[in-house]
Amino acid sequence: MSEQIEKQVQQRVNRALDDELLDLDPLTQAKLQVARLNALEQTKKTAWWQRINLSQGVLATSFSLFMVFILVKPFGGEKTMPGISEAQLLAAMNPVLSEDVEMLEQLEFVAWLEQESMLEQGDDS
Amino acid sequence: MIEQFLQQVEKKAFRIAWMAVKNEQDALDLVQNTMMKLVEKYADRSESELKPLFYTILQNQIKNWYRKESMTSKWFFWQKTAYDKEEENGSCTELIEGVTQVSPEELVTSQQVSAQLVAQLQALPVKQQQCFLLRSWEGLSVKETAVIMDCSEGTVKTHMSRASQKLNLIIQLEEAFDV
Repeated sequence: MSEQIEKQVQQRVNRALDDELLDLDPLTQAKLQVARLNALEQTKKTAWWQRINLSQGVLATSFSLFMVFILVKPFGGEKTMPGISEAQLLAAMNPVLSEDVEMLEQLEFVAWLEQESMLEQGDDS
Repeated sequence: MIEQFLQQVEKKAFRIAWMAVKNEQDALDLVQNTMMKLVEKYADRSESELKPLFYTILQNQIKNWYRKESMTSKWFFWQKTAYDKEEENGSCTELIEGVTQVSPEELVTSQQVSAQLVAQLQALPVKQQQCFLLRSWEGLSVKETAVIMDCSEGTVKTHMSRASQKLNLIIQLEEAFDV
């Protein structure tokens, strides 16, 4: 079958199909219209997060993470934690001292008492 | 834009689906499902991309419809499914017999020839018929048709040639009797 004949056949069949399409009954046309409107309506019903595409999602997540980072760990803030004494910090760093922080505080207290008594003795003499 | 596209394509899509499944309600359902999937997934695509995407979805819908039909035939094995009938009607000898059964008296007007052509097109095997409709009637390229039909470009050309040969028999009768 030559290409020319094939084209003629296609043109003739296309004409037949186009003619048939013009005669499509109004009820079917209306049903098709309803189908189209239903398809278009569903986009409005979809949840907001379903309408977000990948790039928008990535952008929103990055922004959220950035904000969390800023709020939780502000730039240029105090390096040491507030409410922790130097003795506690030293104790935490030294495994021996960390065993008994209270004892260290008592030693400091004893040293202070000795210092006080020495001062009193100096005053008396 | 997508609304305009759907409006443009809906009638032809309905006829194409109806030719494949030979049932008006099923064809309407397939077209509606296709529209929904297109709107849901590809609403932001350009106009040139929409047509191949739309017909790819429609062809998948048609394939699924036939799969469901074959499942039904397993349960109701005594009933012949549309797919079985399709296979029978699709055989070449059956088709030629069908064509020769058309008497010159039946081909009185051009309209009747058109009706015969559409009837013969509907009797073609589904893949041949769909290739012909997409390539010839919808004006898609061989490459696009191959992608949509999930076959090679060579297969599309073979389907086109065979479909044209069978349809040409009707046209030859039309010319022979000078309708």
